[in-house]
Amino acid sequence: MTGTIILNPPHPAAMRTRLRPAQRLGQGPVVVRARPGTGVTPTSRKPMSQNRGSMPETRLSLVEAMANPSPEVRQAGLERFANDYQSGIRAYIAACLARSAGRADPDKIDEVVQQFILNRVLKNNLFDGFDPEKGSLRARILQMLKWEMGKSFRTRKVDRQRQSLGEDQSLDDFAEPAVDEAERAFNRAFLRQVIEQVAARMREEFETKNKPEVWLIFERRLLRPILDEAEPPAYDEAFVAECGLKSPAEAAARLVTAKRAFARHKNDVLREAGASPGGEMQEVIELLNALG
Amino acid sequence: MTQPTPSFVRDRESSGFLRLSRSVLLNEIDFEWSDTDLAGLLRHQLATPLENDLPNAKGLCPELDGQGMTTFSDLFAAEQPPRELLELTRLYAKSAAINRDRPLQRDVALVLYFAAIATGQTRLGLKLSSKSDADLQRAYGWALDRPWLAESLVPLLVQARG
Repeated sequence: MTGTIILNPPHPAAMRTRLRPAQRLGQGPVVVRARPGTGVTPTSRKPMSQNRGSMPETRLSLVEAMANPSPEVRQAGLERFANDYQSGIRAYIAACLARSAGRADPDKIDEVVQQFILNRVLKNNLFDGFDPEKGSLRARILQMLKWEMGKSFRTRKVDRQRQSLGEDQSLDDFAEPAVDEAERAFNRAFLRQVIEQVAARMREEFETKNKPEVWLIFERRLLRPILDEAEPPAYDEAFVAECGLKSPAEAAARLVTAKRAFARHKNDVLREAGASPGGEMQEVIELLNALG
Repeated sequence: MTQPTPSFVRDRESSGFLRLSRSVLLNEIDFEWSDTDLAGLLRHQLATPLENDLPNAKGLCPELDGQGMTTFSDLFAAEQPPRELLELTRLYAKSAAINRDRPLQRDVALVLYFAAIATGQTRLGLKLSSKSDADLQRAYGWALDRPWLAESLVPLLVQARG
């Protein structure tokens, strides 16, 4: 299941996602960002170079895309959903399954992820009645996961009690969800996904603007250490040469430029992933608080 | 056979990821400079051409090249450094140290600031700062205590501290 998505999304007539008028109007081209390993292919994204001199690229949020009448746009929305949330869903389910077995079987995880997406996203539309003003999509998905995994546990526990024929090993696959641990795994995967998307957009922006050096110093000193969980390279002669820095002041200037770009792209990514418009910082704070 | 550690367990053990993520997501991005980094920053600053950071340098001192004085390091080593350049360097470093979007790491900027004042004091007998002598001595002492201080600045600051 990992990396494969998905299937005829429901028509918006069956969805009652509450969008503000401005959101209903925003039916520009959908941009789907592929992440290596997800198997998701960008669909209707134009290279930035083609957009120069024209209106800025418009990206629909995931919620907007899923409410769009066009099947292509909804399909792109699902691909975006996979891009943004699949790793978090998988991490949550893996944490729940691993609690009893000590180690989660990848095939079993994939199966449960698939079930969750089919049941919650496609059949009982996840976006149905979703109001971004009342909470982020991330929080809603997490709520659904808790409910779904809790339900699976309870159902199997009852089944097991009804069986008086001894132990059925297959039933041990599900343990009562270790909520804190699973929630952290979900939020952490989402956080990583956000940072990776922001990084990809920053890189594209500065390469398009022919300023790869801005990206380079930011990536080497800050982003790569986050994503690889490693120490940043020392600011020494080799680093100065690699980044083509004329002076420490130039390094600082590039950093300031990169910081502003990061903040801008971060807000875009969070909003497109289902944070309420203007509520991006609130989403960041909730996410970080949840991670402790 | 040892089972591989599940990724979510590994994640929980790593606080670096969260610490750095928190800073970037809250727009509090800042480099965390180690002593090795600070030594590298100061070395780089001292090797930076004056004209790079002080665009007016050549206008103030057209004879710079003739004096073989092209970098901050050259300026601090000169027997007779131009007063205007020392003053310009002091102002640049002061501004860098207090600027919110600092063009220099604060401590590196302060070392540059005190080095400019020390050079004026020891080579030209000038006092480029309104600070008291006692304050300046303490400031030179602070700079000398930096483990990443460039060796080339040690004799200058020791002499200035007296």
